[in-house]
Amino acid sequence: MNSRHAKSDARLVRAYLAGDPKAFRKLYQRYERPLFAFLLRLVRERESAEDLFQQTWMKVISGLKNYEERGTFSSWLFGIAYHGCVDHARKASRNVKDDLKSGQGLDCLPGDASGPEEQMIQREKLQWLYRAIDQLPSEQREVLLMRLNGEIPFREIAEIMQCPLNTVLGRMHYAVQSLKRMIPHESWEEKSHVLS
Amino acid sequence: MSCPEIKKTHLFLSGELNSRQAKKFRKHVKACPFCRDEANFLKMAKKTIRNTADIPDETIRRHILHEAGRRITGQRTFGIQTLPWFRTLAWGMPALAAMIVAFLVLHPAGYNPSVNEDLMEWRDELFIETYNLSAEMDDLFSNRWVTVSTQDENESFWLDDLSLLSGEFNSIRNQIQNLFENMAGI
Ligand SMILES: [Zn+2]
Repeated sequence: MNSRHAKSDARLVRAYLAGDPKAFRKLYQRYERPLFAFLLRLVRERESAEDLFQQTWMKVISGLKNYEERGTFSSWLFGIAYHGCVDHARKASRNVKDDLKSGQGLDCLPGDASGPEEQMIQREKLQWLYRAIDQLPSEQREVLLMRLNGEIPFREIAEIMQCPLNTVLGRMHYAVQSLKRMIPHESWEEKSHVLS
Repeated sequence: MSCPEIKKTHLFLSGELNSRQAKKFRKHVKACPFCRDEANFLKMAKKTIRNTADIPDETIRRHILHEAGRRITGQRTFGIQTLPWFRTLAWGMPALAAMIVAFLVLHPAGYNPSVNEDLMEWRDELFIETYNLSAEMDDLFSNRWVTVSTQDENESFWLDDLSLLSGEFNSIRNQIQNLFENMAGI
């Protein structure tokens, strides 16, 4: 669904390169929250997430001139962020998954929920979900977050992670299966209507 | 305890099935509790995650924007631009309204699953449409134009417009959902 932004992203990139700093700001605003949430969930530590966030944008700024509109901007952006995380984990020569406490970065607040009650429900849900996501094996977590935060199409996730589409879909499905086991059923079963 | 088509649920939701595959999948999902369950869960997860308000430290934003500005030369343009999402919304709203009207006209007496297969399919499509549009709305809010400190005032103008539209949109969406729930006897 991220394709809904793809054209306007490309327009903003061109406007920025033509000398309009406001275009860049719009691009930044569009991806600030999803990208940061993605990084925070992957490295689960605020300081590293902020470092990686800044690094990612610096690479974007210096790479934009050579950026051919081959894929979508969002895939490119999340791809850079993802590879940054991989490097980060390697440099730290440890598995981030084992090293960091689950549930870190939970100081986050739910965004634009309407009333205080709704806000509390959303906050609770968010905490459940984040705790559960933190328990996932890293490849599953990466796919899930790229999809949910970045809305990157699976075919592009497969390219970023350099593995077959079917593997990516398998990881996504296993992630969902595990999360469903970890999250209380009533928090999502009832009110969700997607197809029925 | 699963379904061999389950991976298609993901491709369907990410819009990566072609129209023929999508049509076939929609038929399948009506009869398949596993795929439906998978889709419902993802909808909840996505909605919850998109609601995160966490942002990096303000100094980082300033640094990035400063760096971006430093890299380019040339004339700076200021002026109201038509935002892309606004355009989407501009067609989305009337389209949605038209669908509701058409629905009421076509089907004032209620809902009979045995005679109207097409309607079922159409209902599903409408649900996906409203779901997509609601995702657009979430997106509008997550852009948070209000937090931008800027020397010109265009952005705050757009924000006012936006909050009006969102109220309108949500009320339409609720009406549609109530309509369906009443019909289906939920
Ligand atoms: Zn199925």
